Amino acid sequence: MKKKLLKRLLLVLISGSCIATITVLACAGGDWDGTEGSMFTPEIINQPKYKPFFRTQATPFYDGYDDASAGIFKEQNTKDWMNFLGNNLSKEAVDYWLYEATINQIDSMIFDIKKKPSNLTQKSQSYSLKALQPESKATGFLYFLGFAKRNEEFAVKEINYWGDENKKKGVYSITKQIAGGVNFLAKATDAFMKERYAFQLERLYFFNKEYNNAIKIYKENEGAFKSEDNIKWRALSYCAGAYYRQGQYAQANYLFSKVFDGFDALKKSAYLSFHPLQQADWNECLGLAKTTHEKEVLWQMFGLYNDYVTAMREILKLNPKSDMADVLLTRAVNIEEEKFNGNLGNDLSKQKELSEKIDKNLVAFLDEMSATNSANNPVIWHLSAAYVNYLKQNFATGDKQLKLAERYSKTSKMIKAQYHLISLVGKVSRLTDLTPKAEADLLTDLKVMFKDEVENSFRPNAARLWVRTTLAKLAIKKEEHEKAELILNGIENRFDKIDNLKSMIAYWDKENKSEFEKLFSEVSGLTKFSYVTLLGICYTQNDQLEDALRAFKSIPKYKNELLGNPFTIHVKDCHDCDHEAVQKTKYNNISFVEKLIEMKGIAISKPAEAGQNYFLVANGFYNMTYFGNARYFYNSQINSNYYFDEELHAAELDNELALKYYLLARSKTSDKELQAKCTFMAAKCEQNKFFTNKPKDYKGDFRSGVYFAQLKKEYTTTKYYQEIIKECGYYRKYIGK
Amino acid sequence: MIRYFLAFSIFFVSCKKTNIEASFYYWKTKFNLSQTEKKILKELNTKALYVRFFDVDISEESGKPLPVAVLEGVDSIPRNINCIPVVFITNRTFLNLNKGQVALLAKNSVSKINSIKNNYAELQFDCDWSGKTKENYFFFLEEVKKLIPKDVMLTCTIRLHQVKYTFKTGVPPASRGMLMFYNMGDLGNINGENSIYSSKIAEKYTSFLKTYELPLDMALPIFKWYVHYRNNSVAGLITKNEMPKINDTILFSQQENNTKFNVKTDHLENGIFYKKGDVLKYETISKEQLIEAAELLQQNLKKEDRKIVFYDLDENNINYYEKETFEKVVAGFN
Repeated sequence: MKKKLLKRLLLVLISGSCIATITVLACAGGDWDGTEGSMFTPEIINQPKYKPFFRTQATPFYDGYDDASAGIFKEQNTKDWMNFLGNNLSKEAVDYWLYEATINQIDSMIFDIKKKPSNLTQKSQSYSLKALQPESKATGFLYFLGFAKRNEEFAVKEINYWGDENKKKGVYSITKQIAGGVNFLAKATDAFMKERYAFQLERLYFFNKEYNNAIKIYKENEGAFKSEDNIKWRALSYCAGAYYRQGQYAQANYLFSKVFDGFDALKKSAYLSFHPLQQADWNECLGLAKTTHEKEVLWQMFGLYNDYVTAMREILKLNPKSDMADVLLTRAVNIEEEKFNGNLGNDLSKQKELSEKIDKNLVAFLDEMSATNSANNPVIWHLSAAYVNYLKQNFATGDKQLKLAERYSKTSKMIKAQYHLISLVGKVSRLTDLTPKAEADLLTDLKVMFKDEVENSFRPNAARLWVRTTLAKLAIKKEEHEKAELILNGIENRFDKIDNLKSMIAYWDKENKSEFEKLFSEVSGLTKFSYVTLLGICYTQNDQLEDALRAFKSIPKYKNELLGNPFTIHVKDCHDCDHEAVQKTKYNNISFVEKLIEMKGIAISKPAEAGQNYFLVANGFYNMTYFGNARYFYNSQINSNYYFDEELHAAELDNELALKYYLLARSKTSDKELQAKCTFMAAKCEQNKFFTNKPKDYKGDFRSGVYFAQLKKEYTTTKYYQEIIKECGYYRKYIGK
Repeated sequence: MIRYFLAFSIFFVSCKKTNIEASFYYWKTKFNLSQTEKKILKELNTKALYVRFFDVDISEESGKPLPVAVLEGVDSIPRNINCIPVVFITNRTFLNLNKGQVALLAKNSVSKINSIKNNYAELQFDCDWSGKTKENYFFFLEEVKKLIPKDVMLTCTIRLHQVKYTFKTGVPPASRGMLMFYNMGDLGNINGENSIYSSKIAEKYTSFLKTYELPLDMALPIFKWYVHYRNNSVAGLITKNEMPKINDTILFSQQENNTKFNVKTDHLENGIFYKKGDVLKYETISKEQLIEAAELLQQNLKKEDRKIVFYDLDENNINYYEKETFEKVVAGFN
């Protein structure tokens, strides 16, 4: 059944409507399913059976399109047959005969029971039915299996649509199988066997496009279809499918709704098959429902497809205490939220311009529902009403509704978290000034949102990011830059300045922190020392090595090990080689700076060694940049954006300091080889500078500067020059070789 | 001497009449031509039809690419018409495939096409590829080339953004491109330009045509649809046999001075639910616009042989234009 229904899905022409798909997906981007920006958790309705129908944009179902039903049928089938056989056969044996044995082996087993020559394999013998009593049960089972296995050819087709399945010729004739089925069914005396044969026959009729007969067989044997969790619902599904193929949509949809409601394993399949086409069909379908409950189910399915507001109204009109509207409610709210989806989740800063897009009918309905307070689970209605009103910036109404939700707010962890999240949305949305009073007002909600342990399915992330961004921006407005950084690390890019870092460190050291500040420092993930690290890095970039060392040393247990020897360089940079090379001394930020200080000291105190030492210092400064083997030097918790942002990382890309020391080293040595090395490294610095700052319209991929010219002019006689020619194709190109 | 020769050759080329052939896309799941459709093919002396064979998309269930909505009734394609298979592949199909899987997809696609029809002079793929899928899609085309006879021409559709931003999307390894000169506007904007065709938007792209690295055929729109808005957001596109009975005044009312309709009554029609307050925006391309589009293109294209292919062959689309309109459009490229 499921496969048939799936195939129906596959008939929909996607290319015809792909523009619409693009429009919808463009908002979400990537492989997201559209729930990333959500602040409203559908699990608050606490009805797990509806999980597949929670809102998602990615697949037809929230929990994916699993093939669970096939497994459930298989298992249930085994149980049914074990029961039929008086539980005298092991599960393995029944499984073997049901799902593994070939038709040949089944026939052989019958022959063997009837004491005729047979051809049983060892496995068949080990699961032999010979001893089973009464014998008629064993043969009945086997005859049925022989019949059913021959039917598989028509009913169960492998889904390999790349294959050329239409042209494959079958072994058996469906009309002969049908004739056999009619015969078997007529002769069956046992109720269970009657059920199985009737189902097989119904299915054969269906696949032979004899829809009248399929329906007839179903109706004649309706009373026989008794196996819950299995045949009862599958037979009903085929009957519904037959009506559908006949164009009797009202009947078909009505029966699919019964399957949807009655059997969870076929819920998804029945949902996909349910498809009212015209208003008249739909009215007729509603007329077929015999009970209030059946009508509620129909409206629920209608709401899942179409108009959730009308559906919810109808359900609650039929039964004010119904819980069948709940799943529609969560979908409705999630759909409204999607209108706010930005690149980083819900972008509520657009509330004003987007509030026009909020469904007015939904808001009006939720206002009514919250005011009457009569639903089965009132809190979810109050919360939803408050949330959409806040989105729409109807703060007074939202506040009233949230107040009504308050007394339920401690009923479960999930409700509590959702209550405080919505409360925050309401408060933060209307905040224009981050005053101490405003901060104090937010505290309770913030604590729940940022500190409480929440259930896995709860969706706090989008809200957390939005709250942080909004509050941080308000702090910036008041020139409280440190507070803004505390609320959301990286909200401004200002830590390339040492003074800003010092104020941030002082802010962390402040003793009289407000409760608001305490909370954000606790959940920040950073500490004062994160900024001290950055301070040390900045000092190093400024060539203030003593200050850098003091900063690094003040950090408890600080050890930022560099991956390669930072004082090595090559014609061709190869970081991986340097990282893998054996290193007698493993440098970290502290020992690296200490070594730099030491070498600078030697360079000054021993002029004869100045050239060599300045060269090593220059290597250190080169390697700690983005281009070097020790760029791990910059590792800090702050601004460590996932994407490499050239603006944020300008200092890491800067080779100026290295260049300065290469030129200094060259001027302090008379060794031609060392001079050549310094000049070549200076050329690298020069080129790195050009390519990191190149004009946007620059299209070339080659550029030579003053240092290549110097190399060519003054150092052709050095050994190092030969090495450059050997290894550097770029330079070879420059000299025209 | 060279200058003289060049001038001469330009003169020579401009004198020669280019061969412009009219054709159509056939974009349904079952091939079945109505009398009107047959008539227009005959009147325009159409020699070939671009026929959608199937779509390919990633299956939600298995995560593998599968053919969807495979064409039925190929046998009823008239014998005097060359059938050019077209396969639409969703961009997301190529997102997460490795080279081996792409090669397999090429193999599967070609054998599926051949199982439907194994004799064709041209084969076309339609994919709105992006920078992210470029590598896989182009590799796919290369693989397909290896699997089809040398004399079969491999072509692919090109969207306007792919012409303008070639540095991002690259140029596919095909013999020719089919420029889809439609779907230009922003569907999401209820008050925006006609999303099917707008000369204002078209002009932003046409200057890039002359320098495009592939010879181009032109696909022009003759389809129509309703864009369905609910609460100012797009709820869907209504096409072909989903079209509502728009003249039923109990259900719909037309807005003054434009082609928008308000839904007056909640109702279901052809599987689509209309809610009171919804707005339907009717979009099509008038015959004047169609001729204007042809002129705009002609001014920006090199003079050379090409096909003008109308999207798509459907009685409801054809009826809207006279035979002369099609002829004028085609003649505009000469």
